[in-house]
Amino acid sequence: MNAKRALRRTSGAATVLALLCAAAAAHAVETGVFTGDVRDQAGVAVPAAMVTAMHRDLRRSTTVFTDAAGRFRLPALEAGIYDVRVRRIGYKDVIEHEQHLQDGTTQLALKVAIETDPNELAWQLPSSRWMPLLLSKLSSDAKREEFTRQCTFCHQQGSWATRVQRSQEDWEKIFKLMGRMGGIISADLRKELPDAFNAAYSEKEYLAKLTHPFVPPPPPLGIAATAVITEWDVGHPASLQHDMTVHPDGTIYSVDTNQDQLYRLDPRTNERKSWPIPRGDSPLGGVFNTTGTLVSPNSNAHVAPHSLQVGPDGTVWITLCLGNKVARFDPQTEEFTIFEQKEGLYPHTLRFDQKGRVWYTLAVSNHVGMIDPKTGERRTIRLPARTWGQAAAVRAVPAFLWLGKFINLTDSASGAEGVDLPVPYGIDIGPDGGVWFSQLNVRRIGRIDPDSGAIKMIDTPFTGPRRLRFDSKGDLWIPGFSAGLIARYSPRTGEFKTWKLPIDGVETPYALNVDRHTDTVWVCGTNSDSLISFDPRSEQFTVYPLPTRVTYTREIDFDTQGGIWTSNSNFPTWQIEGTGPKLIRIEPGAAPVPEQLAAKE
Amino acid sequence: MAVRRRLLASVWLACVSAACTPRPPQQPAQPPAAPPAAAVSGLNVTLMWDAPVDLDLYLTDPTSETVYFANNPSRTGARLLHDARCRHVVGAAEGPFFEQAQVEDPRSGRYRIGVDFIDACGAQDAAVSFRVVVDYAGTRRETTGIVRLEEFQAIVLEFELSRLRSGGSLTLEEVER
Repeated sequence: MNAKRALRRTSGAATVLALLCAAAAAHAVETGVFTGDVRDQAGVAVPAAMVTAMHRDLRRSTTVFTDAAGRFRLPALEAGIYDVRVRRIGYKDVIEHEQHLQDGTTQLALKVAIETDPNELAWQLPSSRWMPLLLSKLSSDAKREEFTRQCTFCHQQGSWATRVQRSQEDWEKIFKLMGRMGGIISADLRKELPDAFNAAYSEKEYLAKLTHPFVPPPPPLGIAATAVITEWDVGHPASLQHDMTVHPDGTIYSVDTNQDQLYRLDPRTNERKSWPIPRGDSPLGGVFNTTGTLVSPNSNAHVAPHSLQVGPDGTVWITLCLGNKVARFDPQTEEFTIFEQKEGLYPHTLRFDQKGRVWYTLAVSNHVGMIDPKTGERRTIRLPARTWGQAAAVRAVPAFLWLGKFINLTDSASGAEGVDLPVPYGIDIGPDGGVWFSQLNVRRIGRIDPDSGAIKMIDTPFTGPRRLRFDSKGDLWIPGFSAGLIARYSPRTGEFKTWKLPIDGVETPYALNVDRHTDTVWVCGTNSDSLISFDPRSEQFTVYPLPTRVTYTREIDFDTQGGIWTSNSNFPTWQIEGTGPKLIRIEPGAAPVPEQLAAKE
Repeated sequence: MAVRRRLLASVWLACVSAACTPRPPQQPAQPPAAPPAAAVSGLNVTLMWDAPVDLDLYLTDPTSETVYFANNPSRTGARLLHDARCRHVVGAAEGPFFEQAQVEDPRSGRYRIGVDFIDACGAQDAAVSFRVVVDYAGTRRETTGIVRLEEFQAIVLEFELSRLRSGGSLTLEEVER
């Protein structure tokens, strides 16, 4: 047995012990089970319906799917008052308010009605089904790709909030605002979009395209059909809960980019705790406050925490993208240590290497940074740009920020002619210690040799390489954000293999992660309210529909109990169905088997 | 080649436009005078300015939803009653120009006012003076400021509507920053 395996076994034993303790502690909590079935007006069983029990006080929802006979059984939940919702695309939502769950089993006979209003049917469909209507109105593949890459990185495209008829004047003002938030598009695309939006999302157009005939998304299959999905509300409507990470102690940390907060959820107790991240002397908008870069109207972002990871010693490391800093949070002392970023801009995604060093992309300035917590060593490595024009542009950014203190630079952002800066994005560490990263806008990945500093760049045969991850065998998995696919790259052979995601419409996979125990690849269904798993052996996908509309996911992590975690970080948050951001856990195949209700009747 | 040219052009243009639009060499004109208090319904927020440019008013309510030109009305019932655009101000005899938001039945809690200078409408104004006036139940709060082209001032004024006692009426208090 090697040391790592021994450690894992010890860790596993500790986890079991902790769970037993937790179970003993929880014994005092009265629990009950909702079970029952879902039928339509004619009494016909409705399979694959989502049944969601929402506990108001705990701000937590639990969802299972009905089986082929329309039956469901939720896992044991705390006794209390729940709102129970039934949702299946093609039927009207039903919410049974104030259902009292007591010790034992509570039976629910839930009735849903078939939706016949074509407008309502269309509006039930996820954004992924709407976005093709818009893309079909654009005049070239290049514009379609540019729109997909640049106009979907904060929020879904095709959601209710984007399907608005506006005047040419309004659209142009909106493109200016988006440009100042980073969504800079070319003048040619700006010219086409107003008519494209208004034509694509006119009632006549969408009814024809989406309801003649109406095809609901396929039901979940296999272990997705028996998954338990739990969602915890975190933050509030002015939050931008960006990324999350699972701590080895079983708690979940996430960051609120809009409010400079670090959140922690203990899913065993439902307890949330938050800490304000020290702002130092960073103004609202951080180092970008001189440039006209738009913070949202409800923002209090001085440092803007973006991504986070747990270090080998259990401390939580956080990139502060607007503050241009990196923070370390010690859960024991609840204190932060701040590392100023003197060279480079916009600390972004971060990962730890085998030596305990943290590596992170610096998205705006085209760097990768490194901090060695043990020695205090810092490095900032400039990455190659694809063209010398791009290299000049990224070098000019710090000067712009400095100049902005004295002269007005603001007119340059939204009026730019489409900016193809490289934007180093995802990052991960290979088995040999090599530091791999993607350059989102220029179809490249690269490897830094951490010893020599040598950099090797590799073109990807697809657009939008985003948050990449290694599997246990040393192959690199990459989501193609604007290509709607995932790819496997073999550093040994230099070969790529790609798989198109099985989503009807336009999918924009923001991130993926690989469960290194099974090498299952989990992918964000960012535009389709879903998570998607991929088995590399069978090359089969499994789609997990998520219960909340406008669930925009950016990161995935795993707990030791078989749970897959992500966060809903659509921005603006008010576009999300309900009250705000959520932390989400999927446990495949965990739903209890329903009782034989039909036989009893 | 086209991309390179575009990038170079954008960098060069940014430098040139920056050099050509320095921060105001002199203070812009004084903000317009406040309108006389009038009997208004609900909560009213007015943004006023004199220069022939497009400023935008943002009013964020206690639910964190913002009413502004692209989200009007808000889902919580706030309305932008008057939205000044370039076509309204260009060629107009003179200011003041204004945007006005109203919440007929405001809820208690904190409100935030932001101002954005989105478009110079062809004018040379690189900075504009403005006034923001809040009226509620006979109480007025106001502030003035200067906003630069394409600058969004997220917090021009914050105020609370709160009840001093249970069942009492809401009162308006400015939040100190």
